[in-house]
Amino acid sequence: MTSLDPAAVFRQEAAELFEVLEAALLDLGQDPDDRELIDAAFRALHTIKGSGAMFGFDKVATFTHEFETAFERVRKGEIKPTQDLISVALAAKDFIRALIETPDDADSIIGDSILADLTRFVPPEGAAASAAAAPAPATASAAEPTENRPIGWRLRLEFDQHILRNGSNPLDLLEDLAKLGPCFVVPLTDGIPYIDEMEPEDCYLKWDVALHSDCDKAAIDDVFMFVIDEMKLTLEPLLQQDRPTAPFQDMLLAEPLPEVAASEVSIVPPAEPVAAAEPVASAPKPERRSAEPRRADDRGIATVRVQAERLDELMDRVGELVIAQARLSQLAAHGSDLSIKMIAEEIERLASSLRDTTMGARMVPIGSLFGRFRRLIHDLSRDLGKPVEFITTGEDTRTRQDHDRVPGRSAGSPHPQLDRPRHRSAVRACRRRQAGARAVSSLRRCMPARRCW
Amino acid sequence: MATILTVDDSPSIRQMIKVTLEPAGHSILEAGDGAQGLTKAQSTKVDLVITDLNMPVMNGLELIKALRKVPTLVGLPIVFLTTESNESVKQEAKSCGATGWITKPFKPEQLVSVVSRLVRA
Repeated sequence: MTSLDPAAVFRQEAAELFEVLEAALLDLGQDPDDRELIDAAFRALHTIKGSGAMFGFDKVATFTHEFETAFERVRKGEIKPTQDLISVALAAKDFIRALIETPDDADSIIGDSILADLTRFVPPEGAAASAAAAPAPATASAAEPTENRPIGWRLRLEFDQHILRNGSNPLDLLEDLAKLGPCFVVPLTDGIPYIDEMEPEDCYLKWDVALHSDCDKAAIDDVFMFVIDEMKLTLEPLLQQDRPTAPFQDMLLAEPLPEVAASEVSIVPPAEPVAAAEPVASAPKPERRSAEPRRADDRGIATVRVQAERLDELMDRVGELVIAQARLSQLAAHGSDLSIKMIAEEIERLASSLRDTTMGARMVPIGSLFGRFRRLIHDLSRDLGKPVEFITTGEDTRTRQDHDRVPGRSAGSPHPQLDRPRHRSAVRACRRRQAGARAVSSLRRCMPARRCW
Repeated sequence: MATILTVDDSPSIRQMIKVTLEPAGHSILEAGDGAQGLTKAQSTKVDLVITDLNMPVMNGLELIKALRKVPTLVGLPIVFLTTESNESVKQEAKSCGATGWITKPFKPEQLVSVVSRLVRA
């Protein structure tokens, strides 16, 4: 195992964060009021800033800090994310990317001009307060840093194993807790024993809860009044900075595997498995206009980062294994030893399954490649002054990212070259035909029609 | 809604529980001591038992212990009534297997609130 350069790891992580950021910004263009998108963009920025500073990318940290400070006002709801602001934000994202990937080519003049644009759309808080003299007090108080103000409670519930036998039901208690305010509940499944060691009447789960409520501690104690002696309740204030609309995911940083946890809850308390599988009555879910909601930050959960080269190496080894296995099968077929034939068949089955699994691991959903088109269309639409709605379907189709079996082609690269002039000429043709200032809305669909390898 | 068994040697308390919980949609079964309560709990499907502690024949603690030994009644919520806010009594009853308690005297809404905690629709 070779040890990876931390800076290289950061670059790789940043590349993914840029995708998240870009997708969130582009989605925000469609749905400016979506708090989740704003929070996703903000989180990505925050991580880039923090990690950048840690790995010695000081320029990145400084620039991103400015960007983040401006974006913070959008997050607080003081500034609306207009199309202009999103365009500047995208440019800022590109600049940060350049700072990380090709620091020598990144000209600080570009950075300054982006920040100047940003200041134009998002005036600094002090300027806003002094400009608006009369409503200043209200604005100023609203703009006060609220980072450390508690907005609820973070709880960990660890019940005694026999809790169910005494007639108490932890799920009922979680429901009662949810009556105090929206909560996000993550079951912790690490205490579940093997099934042959499991007592069906015992409770093996623990729960982490982020409760968004201004209730006091007494209200929480009241919920657990009857069981407080039979449990360990850890309670601490939930701070504003933990806020991002997906506190659920924040908590996952500490305790992973949400989907496994959700499915396993039903094992222990058989009474209400359905209620268990859902996070207890939660924060209002924003409605999505798209038929296939694309969460900007739903990638990277429960994944392991592996370099593509290593997977390629693995595929090569599997390829060699399959060839060796074919030779073995042939030999076995010609021989008369039944036990060798059986082993050969077994190895054939295993090799085939291993090959499929490895191929599957090496492929990526084509949706991650479509991201580039979205940005391209956004920029073209802005430059040409034509509103365009770009819809992608079938994003879950999986493909090899590098397309190295088709020389000169990669899944992401050729189409922008082809599509840019095509799209531009289509828009121009429309413009000529319309011969007027009416906006043309062009709809381009992108759909993987075949499986690409 | 739910079938609730109230076990108390005092008819007035049983009546009080009945008139409080019946309007909330529950049906009430009554027993005058622990032994009767144990028989009724086994012969009828009940969703909750509310029992006094000091009773003749079989007291509340014995009833709770006995109910917890019945395999078909695993997880049955049992609430005891106590005039004392004495912690040791609560602890003893809890260790026998009680789910919760109601301190006498109680207001009707307190009773309804405790019942709704332990009996779900």
